[in-house]
Amino acid sequence: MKSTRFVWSWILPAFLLFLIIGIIPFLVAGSYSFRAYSFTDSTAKGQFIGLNNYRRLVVDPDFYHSFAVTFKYIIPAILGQGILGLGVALLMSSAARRMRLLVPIMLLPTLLTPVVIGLVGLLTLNPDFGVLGIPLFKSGLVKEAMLGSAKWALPAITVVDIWHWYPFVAVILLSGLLSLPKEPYEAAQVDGANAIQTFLRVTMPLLWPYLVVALLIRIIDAFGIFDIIWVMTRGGPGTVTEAISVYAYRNTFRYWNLGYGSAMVMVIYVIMEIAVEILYNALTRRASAEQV
Amino acid sequence: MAKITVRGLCKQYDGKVQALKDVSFECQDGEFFCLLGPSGAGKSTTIKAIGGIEPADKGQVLLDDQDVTDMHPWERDLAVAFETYALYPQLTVRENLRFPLQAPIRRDQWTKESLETRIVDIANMLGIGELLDRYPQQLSGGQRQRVALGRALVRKPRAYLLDEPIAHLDAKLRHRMRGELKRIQMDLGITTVYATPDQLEALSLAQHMAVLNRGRIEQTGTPEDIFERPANIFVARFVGDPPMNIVDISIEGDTLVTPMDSQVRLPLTEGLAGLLSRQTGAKGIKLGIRPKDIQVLPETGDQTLLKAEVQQVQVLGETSVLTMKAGATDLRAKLATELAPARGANVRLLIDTAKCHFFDSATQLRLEQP
Repeated sequence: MKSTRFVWSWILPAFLLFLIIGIIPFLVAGSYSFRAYSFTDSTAKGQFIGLNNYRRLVVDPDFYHSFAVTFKYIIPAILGQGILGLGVALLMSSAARRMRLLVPIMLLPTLLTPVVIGLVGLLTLNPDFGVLGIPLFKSGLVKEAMLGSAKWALPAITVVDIWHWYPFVAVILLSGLLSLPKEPYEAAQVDGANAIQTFLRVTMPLLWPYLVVALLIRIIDAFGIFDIIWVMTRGGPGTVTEAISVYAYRNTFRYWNLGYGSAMVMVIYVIMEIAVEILYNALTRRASAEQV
Repeated sequence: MAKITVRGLCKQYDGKVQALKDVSFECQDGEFFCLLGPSGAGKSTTIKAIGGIEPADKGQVLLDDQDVTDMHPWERDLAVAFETYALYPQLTVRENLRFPLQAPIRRDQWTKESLETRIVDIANMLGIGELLDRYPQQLSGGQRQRVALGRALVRKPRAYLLDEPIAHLDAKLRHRMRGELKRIQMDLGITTVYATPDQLEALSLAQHMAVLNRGRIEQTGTPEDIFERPANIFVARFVGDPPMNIVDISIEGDTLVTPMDSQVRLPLTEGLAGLLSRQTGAKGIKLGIRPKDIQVLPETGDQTLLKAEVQQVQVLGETSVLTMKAGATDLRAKLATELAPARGANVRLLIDTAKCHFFDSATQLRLEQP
């Protein structure tokens, strides 16, 4: 009994914090999602309306559109960060120890806040004075202002996001690479494996757990992408870059429809929960198969 | 199949630890060659240098008189069994064994069927036939070691380099594997360099062997050479169990006086007396005698024999090891258990100087009998 109380006394501060900034807001949002609650509609004062918000959501084409946008961004972004991160990590791990002094420099984008990253993206891609914007425009590759173009706005955001986060993936993979046992590599040398075989049969399987962790963190985080989009396009042009969190934000804090916004957040939560579960199982399937 | 020549290998780790100091030896084509030494002697470093996995700082490695010092490991076509197993953790036992056979440079040597048959044969021989579809994490240390050995043996390389390949097996299995290894090597006639800290293993397997200590070769030769004529005190004590007894002695005329009892004089042959008297001017002489060469007799009061008291009797089945005190000196003797006296018994020791080894106290080197 005493030991239980002792344990709780240590957990309590963290638990309280989690309660105040995590669980209570979540429950409040859950409660709002069943109510009509809007600052702009004098009849919606928080009365219980059952599943009405959810019913509206199910038939809201903008909601489905925002989902599609989110996935159109997430898939290339995660692939890009994974591939670029892995490449840089491999380069760094094989380079001389002195080269690793470059790691903090490489990490700079990740250390900046997304708002700053968005601003940098905005300036870089500006066709009048942006470092990348000018050549892209002058060469005729991009014929309009990139972020104002339905064709280029989302890819531009995706590229900026890749630039923001690939060093994070690279650093996790680099620390993984440096901690791998060297004996299997010696065995592979003697066995006559070529570079590709060694990479596929020795490096990748050993590095897999690190890759899973890095990409899972990135997927969870990328699902809620907001700042970069808000700074660069505000979801525009039109709703071309309106990812799910941007749409939820617009409903909640622009249209002030708290009930509807909360319902949206609940749905996002459930979908993320399921997606992470599926992804985690899929990515760790290989590792768990060996433990049986 | 190849002759392996190692010339003047030197290796330093981190610029501090000198792992190898001028190591040279030659291993004839088709020969079973043992590297014997305590841990840290440089056995693994030598193996890795021959395999090209960790090149030495100085010196040469030759295969059939061709210098391969700067060649890649795979170009040398040697198979290595690592002491640390070095299995591929994400591959099953079968895939681990298949891996070396699928290397690009060997792809044409094996058909799909011959490859699978070979894997199953080797696995059965090593007693891991049941484990082919398991992953390394699911195996015990001894099983992993056999997979590591199997991964070397599936190939038919120019030479096997085996680094303590059966050290982690239980005693019974180790004994069986020793026989199997010897048989495989005889059947295939593939040159084998075998590192072990176990002197019995080296003596029983090797055709030629080298004794390593602190990165230096102490002696090379046949097991008989090493056992019968150890080149120095280190080899004398490292090879043979229990270790050889070493005592300081002095020479008086044609007799020999031990510290155990200055009244007892051991007679020397003329040749020995001549050899040893030339050394008396030097720092001194040490006598070495193997426990099996000390004859233990019951107390008879014979004043010409050394007197000793049995302090401890260790029964090892058919033989027993006695620890005795003669004067202030500890001596060990090995004899048949049925002849062993009881603890505390007073005994007389008969030491035949013809069976003794003599070493220079200063250089620790053997004084060769003519």
